[in-house]
Amino acid sequence: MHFSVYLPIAKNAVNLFALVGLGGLVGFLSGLFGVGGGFLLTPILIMIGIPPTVAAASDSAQIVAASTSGTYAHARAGNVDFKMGILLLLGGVGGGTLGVWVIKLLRQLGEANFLITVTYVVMLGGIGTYMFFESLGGLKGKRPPARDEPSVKRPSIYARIVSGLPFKTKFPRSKVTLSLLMPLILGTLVGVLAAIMGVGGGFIMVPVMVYLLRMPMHVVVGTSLFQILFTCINVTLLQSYVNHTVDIVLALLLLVGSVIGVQLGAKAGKRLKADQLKILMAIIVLIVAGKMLLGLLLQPDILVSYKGGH
Amino acid sequence: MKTLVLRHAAALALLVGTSTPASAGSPRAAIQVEPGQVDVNLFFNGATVKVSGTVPGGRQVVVVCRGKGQKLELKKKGKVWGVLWMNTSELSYDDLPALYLASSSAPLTKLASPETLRRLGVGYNALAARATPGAPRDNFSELTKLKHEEGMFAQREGVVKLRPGPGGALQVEAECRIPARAPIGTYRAEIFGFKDGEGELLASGSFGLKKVGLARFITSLAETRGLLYGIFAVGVAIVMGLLTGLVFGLKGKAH
Repeated sequence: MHFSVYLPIAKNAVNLFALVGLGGLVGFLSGLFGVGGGFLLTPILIMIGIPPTVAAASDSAQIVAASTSGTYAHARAGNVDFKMGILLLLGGVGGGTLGVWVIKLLRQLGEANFLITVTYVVMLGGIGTYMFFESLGGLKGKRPPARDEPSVKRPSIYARIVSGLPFKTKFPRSKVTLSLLMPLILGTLVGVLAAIMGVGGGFIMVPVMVYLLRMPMHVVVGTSLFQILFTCINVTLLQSYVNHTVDIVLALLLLVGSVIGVQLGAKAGKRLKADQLKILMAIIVLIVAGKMLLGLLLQPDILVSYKGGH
Repeated sequence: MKTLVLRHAAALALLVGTSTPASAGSPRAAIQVEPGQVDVNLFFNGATVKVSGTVPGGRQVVVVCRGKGQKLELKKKGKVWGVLWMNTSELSYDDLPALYLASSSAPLTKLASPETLRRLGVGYNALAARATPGAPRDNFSELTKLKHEEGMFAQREGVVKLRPGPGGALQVEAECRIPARAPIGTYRAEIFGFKDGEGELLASGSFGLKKVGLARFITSLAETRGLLYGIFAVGVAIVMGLLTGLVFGLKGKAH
């Protein structure tokens, strides 16, 4: 009982070690996969009694620390493609703004929540399943024309569009030559989705970079963290300024754990092959999708919740 | 120490001041609430407020600690397409206390009729009736589940201690366990007496939760200097991230 801390903005007391440990775990996942980890942390924080808006806002401050630490670790290993990252970021900022408008429109049509949740679960399930089997094939060494899987469904169209785009440029770190428009457009799409789903978007961005931009998995993790850093700086500032929902005590406790976790995750990632990394990520994506699906299918213990969250 | 004693004395004086004199039939009722002010700082983890008092003999007693009534808005889950549980509707209660902790010396149903309890505002049924006159009760039981889990609502029977005092009066002793999530503000403590199916409010006092020290400083900074606060939060996060990166980087080089 002596180890509890009162969070002045969240207006509740929580166990000090639980928060540091939780930060460490989420940081480890960030360092390993290049995701922010909000998908995991925000619901757990809500479960231990933090108001949803405060949980999401304070989590973004924690991600700033974790992704700084992670970007640093990956950049030292030469695994951050800054050029690609900046282009994706520019697209993401535009897409995020667009996404907010799309949500407004959907809300007016009604049943928006339903549409969003179902799309999210279906997308996560699809991406997870695809990644799982693709990397499983890679691990077994039975990958016929490597890295061409995404075009399996519509090979000619995707390839033709990609090769037909102007402003071709080299991305030496990612070892690809692509049109400048590709990361801009994909960044925008992910930004729209992220804004609609209400999550940071690492889960969508990582597969997009692997399969649509054809970047090597290790560069994907570093570049994703670099991008998340800026997205979360923006969110933290906005939430502090507009909603006053960042709890700095909560963020500090979380980030003490996460800055260390992210370094350990980056180290662990170096020891894994790209396909091993992908299959682990696929499993986590599937677990998240499965958990959301169960949440939709099982009758909740309590049918009411406070308004003002997600 | 001096300030502490003074503040304590002030709180007591306040309590005596706000104690409502008992109604005509019970001249000797009194209430004491300890502490009168609960300080909320970074190590606050809820508090126990002691409510004690004296009431005329031959009664059963209910002690209630409650927050101010306010509007509460909720989302309710329902089934979509017969299979998926999602937030489908919204509810609102016009007048519901954020905190409601009732302790009694005997089961409420044995003390008085539902009508009497409702009139006095004692027990969940009374709360439900006041919050939304005429609304269906099933939602309210879901709300009490939510509030129970948070420790913000409690209804405990047989836990108020009654001991014979001087002159045939009864000494009342009860505790209100205030959870850490209780909002900052003023709360009321009330002692109700019941005899032969009739009930009345015998005495009431108040206590407050107040943010102090660092918790107060952080809150006011966040609310009045949002941008500065945000820049500070981002700055601390980046510095912490870079420092850890540096430390691990050095360690990596050493090997």
